[in-house]
Amino acid sequence: MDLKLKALLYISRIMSARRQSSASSYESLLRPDITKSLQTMLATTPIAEDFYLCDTTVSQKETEEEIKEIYLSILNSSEESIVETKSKTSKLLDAIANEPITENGEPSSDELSHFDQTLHVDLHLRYIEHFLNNPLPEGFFSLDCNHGWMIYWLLNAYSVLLDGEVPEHLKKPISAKIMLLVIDEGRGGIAGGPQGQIGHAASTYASVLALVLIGDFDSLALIKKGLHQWFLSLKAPNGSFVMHKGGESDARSTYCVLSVAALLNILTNELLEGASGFLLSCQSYEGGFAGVPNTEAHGGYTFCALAALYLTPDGFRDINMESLLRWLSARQLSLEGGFSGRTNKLVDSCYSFWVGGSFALLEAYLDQATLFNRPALTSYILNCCQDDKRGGLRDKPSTRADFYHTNYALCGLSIAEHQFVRDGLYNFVTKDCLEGSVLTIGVNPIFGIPTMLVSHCLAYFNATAN
Amino acid sequence: MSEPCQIMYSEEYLSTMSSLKQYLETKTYTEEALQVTEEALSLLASHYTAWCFRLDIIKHLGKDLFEELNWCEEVAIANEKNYQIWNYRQRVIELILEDPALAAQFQVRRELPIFQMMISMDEKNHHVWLYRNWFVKRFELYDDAGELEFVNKLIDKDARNNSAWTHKFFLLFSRNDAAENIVAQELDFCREKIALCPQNPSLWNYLLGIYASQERLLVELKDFCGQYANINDEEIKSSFALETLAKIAVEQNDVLLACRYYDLLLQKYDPIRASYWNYLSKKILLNT
Repeated sequence: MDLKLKALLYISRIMSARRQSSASSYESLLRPDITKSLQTMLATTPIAEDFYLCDTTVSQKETEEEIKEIYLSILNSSEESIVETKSKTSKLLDAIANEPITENGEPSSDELSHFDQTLHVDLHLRYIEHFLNNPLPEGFFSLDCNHGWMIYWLLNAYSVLLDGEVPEHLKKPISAKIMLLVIDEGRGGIAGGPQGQIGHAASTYASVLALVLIGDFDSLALIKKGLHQWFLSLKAPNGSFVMHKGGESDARSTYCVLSVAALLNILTNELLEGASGFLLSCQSYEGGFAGVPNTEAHGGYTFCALAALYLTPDGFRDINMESLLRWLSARQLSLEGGFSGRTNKLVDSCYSFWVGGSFALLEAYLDQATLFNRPALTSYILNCCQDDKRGGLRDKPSTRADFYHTNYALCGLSIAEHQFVRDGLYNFVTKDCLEGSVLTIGVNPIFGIPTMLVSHCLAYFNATAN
Repeated sequence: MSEPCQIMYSEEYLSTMSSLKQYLETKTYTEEALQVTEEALSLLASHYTAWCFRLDIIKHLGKDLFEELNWCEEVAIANEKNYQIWNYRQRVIELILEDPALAAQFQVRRELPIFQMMISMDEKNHHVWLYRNWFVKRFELYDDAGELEFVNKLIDKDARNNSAWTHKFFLLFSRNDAAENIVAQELDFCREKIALCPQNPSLWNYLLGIYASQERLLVELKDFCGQYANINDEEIKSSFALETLAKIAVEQNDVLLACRYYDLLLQKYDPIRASYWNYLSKKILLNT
């Protein structure tokens, strides 16, 4: 799809949002005023500072300083930023509709309004397309065991930005590529890459999601029986699954197996046996979950454990909910607004989804509208994590954009922009948190792909069951 | 359209991986094949298939497993963030332990220098800590004095090293029989550290973790928390102390006091978590 058409889609979304909204300010319709939120984040709370110095404090302070500067520059440049974003939007509209948008009816801008940096949708789409359409440079050999993952990260990020769409011309080549990684019709899983690699549960997860993203359910139907057989061969005595023959077993591998099985409607009792018990045993004294019992609570494993538990018959019933919520809440950093993955570790945008998704699951379960600070997370992603020159999103300002963070930062943004209400066993109805202003579509917090695609997949495999 | 995400491999990489593939496909367990796994892993330590294949070759050729552990160490040091290697090392050690003659030669202490080395490179390396956790379980080192000394040293160096605190909790409280003197000693240790850096979440998590695991009443901590959260002062010393006071109020069914503390956290001391404090207030109000 060419850029112009995409821009048109983007604009039409904004325009339709505009029609729905009763807000009169054009700016406030696109993005909310974050002045108060930023002021809260930047304010020094009346808690005495101790003078205990250690490595952790030093790196934390460095990160805070860097981010503080970014937020202060937003607060200090009110007028400018309004003018700049207006002209940007107008230019886009000009290019498409060939008629300048009039500013009639717009109230005079409040000088004290401040906005998050706009999401550079086109730039990120271009970044993604570039890597999907061109061979990857030699240095990418470090991802040679993650081919399914690369495809998933890029395609999913693309679809989250573009209403669940993926580039039409890539559908066949992607399907062909993944089917080449399938071993023995699924009976050996899906490999992480070429040249004789063996099946890997995490690569299987990523590859299956990629096939769902391109809507290739027929290919999935061909391998689902084989995959079920393979999953059974990975089952460990403690109820978890090994990642591959001879590999490690933990909350992550267990999530990968159970989530694929749920999508393909092969989540049998044999697969579920003992899984819930194992996952529950990973909840640490801190409240979060670890990969294996008695190790450190971690955002990634917490997501895996929760999403996997969500798929088991007893769900969240036996979780220590009080300590879990306490730990999850502590992941949001006061100044940064983003999440850290572990106690006393630095902010990282990938946890926007791992921790954000965990929150979304809990909000759905507890029937709560919001349990964390959505505007603060949004501010972190939009202002600190976008590469506004080359596109893509990054871990934190001091790092470079990559596929992994591009996907999970955008999935996190989706979580921040939506509320998730249970809809059937594994799906959710989403509500926009800020009417008319959302830039992403709702990502299903169990599977990490757009909710509508999960619906398509579940419908296909329910209809074709046996 | 060419293959999406196709990598432009270097000649060296491509030729190593294609010979690896040949050996894999023909299940050739020879010295040459072993050499190729070494080359492949030195190029890409996350190549899980090469690790699996290497273990098969080692078994078939009856290689010296202690030599293999030495080799592993070199690879580990060169690949800090790799985790396949720790799973591999576990499996080699399991092979050693399966053979009584070899098991007799295996010294638990031989694992310590590599830990020391890896932890000094990154004190929060998740995979190294996972391995240490396995190691303690496997050899039942919970009560080993050296083990506790190791974590205490790390905590003394950086009281915010949560990985070290987690390991300490695992050593002392993951089994149900923590002796009363250990509990008392740890509570003292924790209180001492809190005096140094009251706004350090690792310490409060550890403290609250002990209380929960020992099913002790938090009200014991009331005076202690009061020192760090005197809300009449211009500044408090720790939001975690205030949070704990709220928990104590809940424990004592003093709903109004708990809500007051939650409201202070929400408004003044920890506003980023406003939704959370609000949720807790609502929850206790609904329960009364």
